[in-house]
Amino acid sequence: MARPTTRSVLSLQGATLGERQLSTAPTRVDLELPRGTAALIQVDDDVDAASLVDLCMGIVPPADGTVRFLGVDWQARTPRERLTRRRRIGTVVQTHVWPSHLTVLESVLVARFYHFDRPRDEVIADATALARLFGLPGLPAGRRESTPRRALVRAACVRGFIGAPDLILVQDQTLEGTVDLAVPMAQAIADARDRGATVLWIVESLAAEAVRFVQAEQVFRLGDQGLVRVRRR
Amino acid sequence: MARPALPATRFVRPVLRALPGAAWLRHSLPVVGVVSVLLLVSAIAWYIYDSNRHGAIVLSNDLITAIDRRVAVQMHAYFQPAQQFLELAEAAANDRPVDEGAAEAERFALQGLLSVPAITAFSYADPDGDFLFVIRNEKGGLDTKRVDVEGSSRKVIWTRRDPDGKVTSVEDDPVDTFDPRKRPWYLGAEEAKKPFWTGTYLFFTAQKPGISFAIPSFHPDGRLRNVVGVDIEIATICAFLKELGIGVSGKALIVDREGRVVAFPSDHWLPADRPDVAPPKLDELGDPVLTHVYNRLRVEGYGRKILEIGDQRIIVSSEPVNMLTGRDWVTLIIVPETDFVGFVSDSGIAALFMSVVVVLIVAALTGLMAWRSMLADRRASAAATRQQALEVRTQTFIDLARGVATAEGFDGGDIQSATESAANACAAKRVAVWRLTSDRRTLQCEDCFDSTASDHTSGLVFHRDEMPNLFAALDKAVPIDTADAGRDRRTSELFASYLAPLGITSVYLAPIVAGNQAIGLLSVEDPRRGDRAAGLAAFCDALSILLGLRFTAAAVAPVAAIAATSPALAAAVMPPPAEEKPPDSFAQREARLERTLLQQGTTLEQVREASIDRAAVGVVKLPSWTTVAQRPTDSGERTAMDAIVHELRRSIERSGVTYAALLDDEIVLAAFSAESGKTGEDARCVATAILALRDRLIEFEDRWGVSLDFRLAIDVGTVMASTIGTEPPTRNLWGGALAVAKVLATTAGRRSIAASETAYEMLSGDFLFRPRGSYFLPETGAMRTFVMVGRT
Repeated sequence: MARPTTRSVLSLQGATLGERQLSTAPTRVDLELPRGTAALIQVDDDVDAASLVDLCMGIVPPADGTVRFLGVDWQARTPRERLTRRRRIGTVVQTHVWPSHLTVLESVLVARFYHFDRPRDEVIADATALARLFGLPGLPAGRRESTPRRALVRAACVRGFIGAPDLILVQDQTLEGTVDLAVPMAQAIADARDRGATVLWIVESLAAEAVRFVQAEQVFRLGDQGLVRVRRR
Repeated sequence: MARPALPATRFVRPVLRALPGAAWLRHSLPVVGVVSVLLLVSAIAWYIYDSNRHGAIVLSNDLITAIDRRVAVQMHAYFQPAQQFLELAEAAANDRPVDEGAAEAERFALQGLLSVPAITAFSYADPDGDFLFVIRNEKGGLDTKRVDVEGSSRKVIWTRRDPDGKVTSVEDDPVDTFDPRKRPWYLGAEEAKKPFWTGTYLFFTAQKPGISFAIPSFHPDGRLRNVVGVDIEIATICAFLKELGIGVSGKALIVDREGRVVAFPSDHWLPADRPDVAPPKLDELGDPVLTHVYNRLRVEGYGRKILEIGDQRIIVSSEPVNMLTGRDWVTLIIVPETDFVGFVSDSGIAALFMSVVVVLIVAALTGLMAWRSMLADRRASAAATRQQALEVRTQTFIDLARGVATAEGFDGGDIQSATESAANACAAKRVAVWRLTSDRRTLQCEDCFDSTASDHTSGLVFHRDEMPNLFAALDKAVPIDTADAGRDRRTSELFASYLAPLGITSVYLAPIVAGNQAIGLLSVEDPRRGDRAAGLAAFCDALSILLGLRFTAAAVAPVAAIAATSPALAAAVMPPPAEEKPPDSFAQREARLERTLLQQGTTLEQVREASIDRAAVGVVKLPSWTTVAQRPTDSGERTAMDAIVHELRRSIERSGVTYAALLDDEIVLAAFSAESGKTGEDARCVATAILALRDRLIEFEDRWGVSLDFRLAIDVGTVMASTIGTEPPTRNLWGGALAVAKVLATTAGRRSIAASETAYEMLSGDFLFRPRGSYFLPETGAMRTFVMVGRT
């Protein structure tokens, strides 16, 4: 078991994943993510990957063990406190959850406007810079049904990185088929780490094009016995 | 508001069909019946086979026992006279040596041999070597051989007789060396000191297989007086054994306790190649079955048993022949069990085969019945489904029509009720009503109901330029029903830009017609197909007619009056939104710019002096430098970039643009004029130049066989202009539309031309565009973007 450190942004101590699709035994996960670092975890099954994301975000409690974000156990907080703390987490996990009654632009910015009191123009400027980094002229101004999938994927990336979050969770299934996002993602991750953010990227394969340019301090594979450290080739 | 579902009682099915397990039971019953019949037939076949087999085995045991007895009787009948003959001959010899008793013994033998056909020869010998031998000759008479030994001299005389007993010749045989004292019958009798049966051996004189029976006579002091014996040919026994016919391939043998063969069922069987050699044992005959039987008998003893040799079951019977004293002979019967019970197995298999054929016929008939039953069920179910779908659609249409008749709007609600009811009636993912603008270039969504999200949207616009085939089909006012919109030429553009992102492939498009001209479109997206599609086309067509009536009525009826009674109907009859003047994108951008300038502490008027309004700007993002750094093969330029720039420069010079600049890997073009009426001309000039540059770059790709990563963009808007103090003075353009064009070029697709909304509005009449999506740019606010494809 890894030793907990006070500097970890995210700390999983014996956190047990619930029922896994491809494993009959519960899986204990020990992970320490210090500030400004990046980690890659190869998870073969999409459902397991989603479960791990939920665990890290405090959406689902672990069957056993603790999950601490910024030194605080998720389970020690009320649901409202947990909701408030999640504003400091950026996620690039799904693209099909855009509300139908909001434009993509509003969907990306609404959380920023709700949780923070930064001027609107500054938020838009940040979002536009990120959008242009990811290859969009700006944030999509239409609703999801009138926005190309290519733009939705990039808007999801903008949503994950906007607002200088302390932790950025990326699930690579979002980026399937978007090879040209590899360099912008690596650039965005490098910028985020430079300002002290921690990145946890859950990949289906460590050989994926999208993670090729990411310099990660820790690389794991989620197996039946928990996280197994692997060496990238 | 969604229309409530029709009462469920209208579609109640028979009770049996409604039960969840009933259909399964109904369909599986024939299968269960067939399986039961199959099991019963199998059980009956097995019972008959087993009982027949058991009976056949009992019968075969009885048969083998009968054969045993028959062999015993035959042996008894064959050997008993010979035994009695010899006992009488022994009495005739009267314990005398040969030279004394030969005459009497000869007379007895000559008479006796005629009445005992089993005996081939009679022998009379004493320890001195004297010997009397009477044997049948080939002519049917009896010959006598007399060996008289006097000391070292020896005399052999043959007396030949005809069948009548007359002596035909007396011959001296000086070369005869026969010594009776060395023969098996003599030695065996002397050793046994009692009547003795030999094994099978070759007769010295006749060279035929046979056995001998000898009786010794001894002096009171134990010395041997004489030995008399008879030779019995076993050819008759062998022939008898051969003719027994035990099953198909069964055989009977006579063997002694050591397993040596006494009689073998063959006409030509010889026990050995020499008279002095012992007959073979069972395992020396080269027959693997006999070898196996011999080995088993040696271990398990004699008796009746079944031996399993390989996959064969062999019945082996080994009963002793008790009537012959002095010899422990055994009748060995070997027969495969299949010879007796094989017919049972064969007939059982034949019966089983016939039963299986019957069962298969029954199964086929039953399966046919079950299949027809399932077909009937499916047809009934499909008919019920179609009936239900038709009733739902009919009821929906009646309700919608009633709303029209009462002028209360659709279902007393608004146009949203129509799309919602239609979506429910058609079980469609989305239903939308579109109106065609008066210039027939734009379809605008009045309302779209998404049943998945249970929500309404509106305002989406399709342009004729981006979907020419759909608009051409709409002009013909013909419905389009396609299950694969991507493959239908009329809907392929709609699929690419609208349906595919929503995951929809099937669509029914019914034009809303008035006066033989389409004025709108009803789109039913991803409706349920199959049986539930019954009446779909008729329903959609009828609904489109209803919508057409409403739209037409709107043009006649005073809108205000209708609005006073029904706001929803008023909404439906309002002139199409396309009739309204669209928002001026130039004005929007100007307002946005003005607000941004105010935030910076200045005004639009203050920068007007240094700016150019409505300048047409084009930006070419040249290929990545690594792809164009090499020397081209077809020109003298140092690098491919040199060739590109050289060629583009010539193209730009011919284009008539006002401004061109190359910096780094970007080329900026601009066209502007002081007269405001020439804005369109400037935009067309830049657009033409940009298209020409794109075509030149594509030509380079084709010529060099490489992929050049270049992107282009065009915008129309305000740009800033600075004068640089050169001689003559030159201008530098910056900011405004130029910045927007650079952003659009940077984020455009490879080899494509991105266009802003203002550029689209200026150029859509002459150039072909397809939408790329709306984006919020801080410089312009929300702005539609397009891809310029070419000239119309």
